[in-house]
Amino acid sequence: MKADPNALKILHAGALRKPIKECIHILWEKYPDLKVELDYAGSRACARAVAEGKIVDVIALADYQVFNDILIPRFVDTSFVFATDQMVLAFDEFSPESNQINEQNWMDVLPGNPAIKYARSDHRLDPCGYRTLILWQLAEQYYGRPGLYRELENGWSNLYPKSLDLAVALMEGKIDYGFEYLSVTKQMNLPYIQFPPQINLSDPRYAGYYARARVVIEGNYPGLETEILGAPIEFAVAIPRNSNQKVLAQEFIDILTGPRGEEVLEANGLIPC
Amino acid sequence: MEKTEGGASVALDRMIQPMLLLLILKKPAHGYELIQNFNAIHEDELVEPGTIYRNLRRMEKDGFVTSKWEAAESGPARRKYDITREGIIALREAAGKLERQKKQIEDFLAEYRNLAVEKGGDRP
Repeated sequence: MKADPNALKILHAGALRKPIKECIHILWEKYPDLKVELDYAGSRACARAVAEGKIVDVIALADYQVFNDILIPRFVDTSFVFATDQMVLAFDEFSPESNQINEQNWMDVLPGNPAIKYARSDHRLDPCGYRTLILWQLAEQYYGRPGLYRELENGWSNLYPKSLDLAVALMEGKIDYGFEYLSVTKQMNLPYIQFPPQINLSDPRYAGYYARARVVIEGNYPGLETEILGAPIEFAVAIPRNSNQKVLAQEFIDILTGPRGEEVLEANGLIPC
Repeated sequence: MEKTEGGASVALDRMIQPMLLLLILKKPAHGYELIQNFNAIHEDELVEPGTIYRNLRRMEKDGFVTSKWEAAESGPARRKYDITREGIIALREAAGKLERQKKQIEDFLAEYRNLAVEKGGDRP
């Protein structure tokens, strides 16, 4: 399909699918004939696409660090933090052990049980993936369970490109448990277990504690690895330098970060900030 | 919500809004920083980040604070909050109400202690 040069092109993290669509409907109130082209992927995959030449007017990602790592300063000047979230363990009411699992025993229930399929998203493509690995490292320390990280990392059954795919897989019964954002879990009406703030990556008060955990993302060539330190979850948005629709893009961002956007984000389980 | 003379209001049943106004009066700050500072003061009663962000937005709607985007040197831009004249008035009235509450508590405790000495032993 040939891209329309006048369309507003928005590229976003899969976790933002629903709130971004709802904000476009607000923009359409003012510009009912505006054509919008929407594309989504894991945040690192989105950023790589822009770095490799994809032209978009708005890019909204699940981690501002992805902007810093891949897009700033060559493709983007600044990113704007607009929402926060937390990691949870999502499941389905038909998942094995779903009536037994809780905040205290999840680390005993999941690993080593062949009847249970748990999954995460791919840390190379999606912040939810490396945040899961960070959560597991922090859980090992927090619960005083040496070896827990390795046990969990050796035991997952599926790896998905983005957090939204995890939630869909849960709904379809392909997996039983998924390490997921609270917002996506709420949007899909899935049951979930909350983790304590010391490990759920929601609280700036624990920023120093989160930073004890780190994930190395393999690069395409030796020596091109990226190290990611644990940090509170912060979603960010930006207008790439090569946008053809900067004024419209700014109008969209004003909606997303303004009072109506805040209502949309809140209704979708995110915390506008 | 407690009505002030100027029509402004501030939630006095909880300390969150006056505490945030006090922190912002000391130094305009981002929500991220305010959460860290707020919880450093209230270590025994941890307030969730969402509660602080929601109160900041509510106070902006009520005109007690304003916000603008500010980019950090090497980080992203975040909303930075500053206090308004309305906010300063609301904070002053919140402090006045707390003073009155403090006096009520002190009077109550003084009376209790006197009675305990008078009655002696384990009563009241």
